[in-house]
This record gives sequence, structure tokens and C-alpha cells, in this order.
Amino acid sequence: MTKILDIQNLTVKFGGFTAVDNITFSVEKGEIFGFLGANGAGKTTTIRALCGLVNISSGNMFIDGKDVSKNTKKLKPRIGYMSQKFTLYQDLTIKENMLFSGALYMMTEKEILKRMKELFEYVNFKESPDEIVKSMSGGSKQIISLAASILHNPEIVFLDEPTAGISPVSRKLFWNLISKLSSDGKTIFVTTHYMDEAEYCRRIALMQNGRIIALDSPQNLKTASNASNLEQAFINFLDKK
Amino acid sequence: MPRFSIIKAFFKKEIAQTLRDKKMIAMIFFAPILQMTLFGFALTNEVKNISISCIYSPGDVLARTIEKRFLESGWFVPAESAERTDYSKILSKRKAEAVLVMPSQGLLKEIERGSSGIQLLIDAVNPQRAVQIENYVKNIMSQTVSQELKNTPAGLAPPVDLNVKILYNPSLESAFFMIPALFGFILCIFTVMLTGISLSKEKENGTFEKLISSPVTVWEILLGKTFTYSILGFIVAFSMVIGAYLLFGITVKGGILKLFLICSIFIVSSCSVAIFISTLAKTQQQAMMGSLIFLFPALLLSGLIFPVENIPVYARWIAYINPLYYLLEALRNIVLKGGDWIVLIQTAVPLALIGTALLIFGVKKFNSKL
Repeated sequence: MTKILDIQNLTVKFGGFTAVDNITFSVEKGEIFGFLGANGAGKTTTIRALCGLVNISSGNMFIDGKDVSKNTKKLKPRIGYMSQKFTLYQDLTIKENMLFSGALYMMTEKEILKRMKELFEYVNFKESPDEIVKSMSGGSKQIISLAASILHNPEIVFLDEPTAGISPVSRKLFWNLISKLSSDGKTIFVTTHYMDEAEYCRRIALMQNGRIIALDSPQNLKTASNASNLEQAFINFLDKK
Repeated sequence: MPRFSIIKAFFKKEIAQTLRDKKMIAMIFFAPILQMTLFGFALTNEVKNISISCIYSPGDVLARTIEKRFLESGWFVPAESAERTDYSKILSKRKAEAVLVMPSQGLLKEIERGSSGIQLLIDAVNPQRAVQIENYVKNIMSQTVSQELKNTPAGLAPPVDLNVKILYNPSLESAFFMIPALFGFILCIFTVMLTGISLSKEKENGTFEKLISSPVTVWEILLGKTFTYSILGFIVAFSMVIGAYLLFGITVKGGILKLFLICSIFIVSSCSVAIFISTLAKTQQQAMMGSLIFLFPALLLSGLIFPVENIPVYARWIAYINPLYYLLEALRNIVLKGGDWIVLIQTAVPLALIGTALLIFGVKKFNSKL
């Protein structure tokens, strides 16, 4: 397996606050990589740094062997990013949002609509494309948001708490789509608070105060910490620190 | 090089967002017409350099004194003298703005009789001036008459009654001076406020994160935004041109092309101000406040209401770096006087320089990171 993401000694500081503190890890092509940790542990900042959205203080980041800081513009079309905030336009319809998102990646209207239809069919999404986004449920919004970030068929998808606050049914649909993307060879980098979702990941990194305190497959993490389930495993890891 | 398809996508999106908001539509299309009506009818200006011609008999001492007082007041300048028989000609040829015709038997006698034979004719093409001129003339005349008559055997000074004739614009529409400036002010409000707010809206709602995570450049984001609101500003400003014609009968003497040219140069400045405001404002409210902080001084020091020449010298430089000042000068020149090219260049060049400086500053400050 080839390393698609390679992060070396990454540090991100905001003024006097160190959000990400000297982390080193890599992600392999096609894997679902989970990022877990409390709020403020540095997960979002790490993702934002990888997407070129924040200035890093030190360290190196490579995507497919290319330095992110130097090739941001070239790498952006290969990345899909779904923020933990809802970043689509509430006052536009689903279709208008998709057309705009796709146009930012130089897709034609025809391409966008075709892809939108495919994605929505796959997750059995039934809302009309002419519906205004504002009035929709949290689950629907997250589905649209995910669809908007993978419209341009990126190789790497960053999902920042994509399933926070949505119903179990929507979560199931959501993970179906994520699994499909992974089986298509896309690399998924996902943060979550749900342990059942963490079980879907091939490997998990546990973050605390800007540092990675554990990184392995769910099974190995459980074995290493003598725990019967992931939740207990994480409690054991956090206690140890 | 900004890509056209991205700008187009922004344009479509912004228009869809704007048109979906009913309050926004009201603000865009009704507010300017309301303002135009208010500004056109309600506001007046101070008036100077009124050319006046006084016609009186050679031996009329009181009339001569009054004429002297006119010229001493600083508001009047002497116009070409005229004969009693054809004084309306110098008005029609615009050689004088006002003609005061004293009775042939002498002013003193006329006043004793009840003063109905004094005639004042005013060129009222510019209605604010006409009203002011009438007031100035009345004040100076009654002051002079009461002062002079104290020393005469007649004793009491009767009030001076003038027979006033207002020529060319008898309905006294006050719009001529205000309306062209109002086109400019509306264009300024639109580009500064709407662009600023829409940029901050992206930040406030988090959609900015989505924009910068995609492969669009800062220039494309800024152009996409400013282009849309400039177009909206133009549409509104030009619908006001039509409104000005329908409501006040004002035509653009210099032609629409010159109007478009100077407005295009101006929006570089106003959009740059909006970009700068959006770098400081994290929410739409802050952007709104920021716009007002810019718009109020820009308005007051633009000559829209108070002539820049009346501003004390030490503060006048603010007007001279105010893009709105040059725009309004240019607009009045184009709409009312036909847009002499020399005047146009005199306003367009400083406007272009200020615009370039503001643009460099605004874009440098605009951060494409979170």
C-alpha cells in the first residue's frame, strides 16, 4: 500500500495556543482513517492544515508525495472537504448549491447534475432538488453537504464530524456511502465521536491536547489496552497519559 | 487569470440569494426611488456668485446703495447691465441670474406709495439657487431700506414688497442639483454595503471555508462578489436615471456612455473599500456598521449636501481623498452640463488613482486562510 498522506512533525499555533503539537503519522491509499478525541483536541485543525485552510507553524505535509504548502492550488481539486459546520448556502436550493459547488471545480452543469443524481440515488435520498436547504432536517443537510464535497470525485475525502446530530438511519446511509467511496479506492479521513463508527475504520488515531496518543487498528487498540470494546480502550489510553 | 465560468457561477449564486430575500428586493428597488424623491424635493444648498443686474434711474440714490450692498454681501457679482426695455434678454442668454427692476420714478417714492412696482426676475433653472436668491435680495433690500430711511424725513421704514417672477422653472423643482449626486451615492451604498455584507456573510455562515477549500483564487472570489453587486448597483443607478427623467424631467446631457465610464472607474474604489471592511468584519452586522462608518463621512465630505468649498482648509484634504467627491463632481458635470472632457478627466484621474491604491490595500489585507 502506498502512503497518500504523510504528515511529519506538524505543529499549528494560534497566537500562544498550540492546537496541533508536533504530530507525525501517515494514511494509506484507500483506507478509512479515523480521528478521535475530545473537542479541542486538534482534529479539526489537523484537517484544515491538510486542506491548506490554516497556516502551519512548522512541520511538513505531503499528499501523494507533494508538499501541501507549496502545491495547495494543484492539490485542492484532488481533495474533498466536509466541514463540521454546515457550509452550504441555506437560502439556496439543493440544486443551486450543487451547481455552485461543482462550478468551483470547473465541472459543467451536465456533469454536476448527473453526479448529483447518482449520489442521491445511492443513499436513497428523496428530497426534491428544488427544495430550499434551510427547511431541511439535519440528516438531509449532512447528506447534501457530503454530496457537495465529493461531487468533483476527489481521491481523498476529509470528513469532519459528518454524522454529528443526525438520526441513526441517516448515519447508516451515510456510512454506506463512505464504505462505497472506500471500495472505489478513495481515501477517507474521518473524525467522529461515535464508537460504532470508529469500528468501521481500518485504523484510528486518538488525539489529546494536540498530540496523537495512540494509533492502530480498532482490534489492536482493544488488545493493547486490555479492553473489551473501543470505548473502554480509549478510556484506558486517556487514563494512562 | 480569473476564470470566467467561476465568476459566472458566483453571479448566478449571488443573484439567486439576493432575489430570494424579499427585504433585499425592497431595499434594492424601492429605497433608491424613495430616497430620490426625498432628496430631490427636500434638500437645499447655499448659493454664491449670483450674477445680478439692477435697473434703476440715474438719480435713484437708494437704488444705487442697494446695488452696492448686494455686491458687498459676497453673494452677488455684477452682471451685464441692461436697458429697462429688454432686461429679459440677459436672463434668457444667462448673462444674469437675477434682474432687479426699480420703478422709473425712483425707489423712495415707490416705497412711500406701497412698493408694488419693484420687480425681481430670477432664473430658476436651478431651483435651490432661485429660492436663495429671492431670500438674499429681499433681506438685503429691506435691511438697506430701513437703515437708509432712518436718516430721512420720511421717518418710518415700511416693509419692502417685491414683485417676484420666477423664470424657466416656475414649479421650483429642487431636484436638479441633488439627483445626479444621488445616482452616485446609491451606487456607492450598493457596492460598499452589499459587497461588504455578502463577503462577511460567507464568513459568518462558514461558507467561506467551503470556498477556500476549493481551487478558486482570491481574485476569483473577490471578482465574483464585486462583479455581481456592481451590476446590481448599475441597474439601480440607471433605473434612477429613468426615474429622474420621469419624476423631474432631468436628462443626462452628457450621454449615458460618459456616465457609465465614470461609474465604472468609481466602483473600483467602492468595491475595494468593501473588501477592506470584510477583512475586519466577521459578521454581517459588523460589515453593516463598518459600511456606515465609511459612508457617513464619505457622504458628508462629498459635496452631496454641503459644498466642499465651504469645508475649512485643514479638513478639506479628506474630501480630496474621498472617491465619492470626485464621482459627484463628475456626475453633476455629465448630467447637468453635458460632461466636458477636461472636467471629466480632472475627476476620473484622481478617482482611478484612489481606486488603485484602495484595491491594492484591500486585496493585500484579504486573507484566504481561516
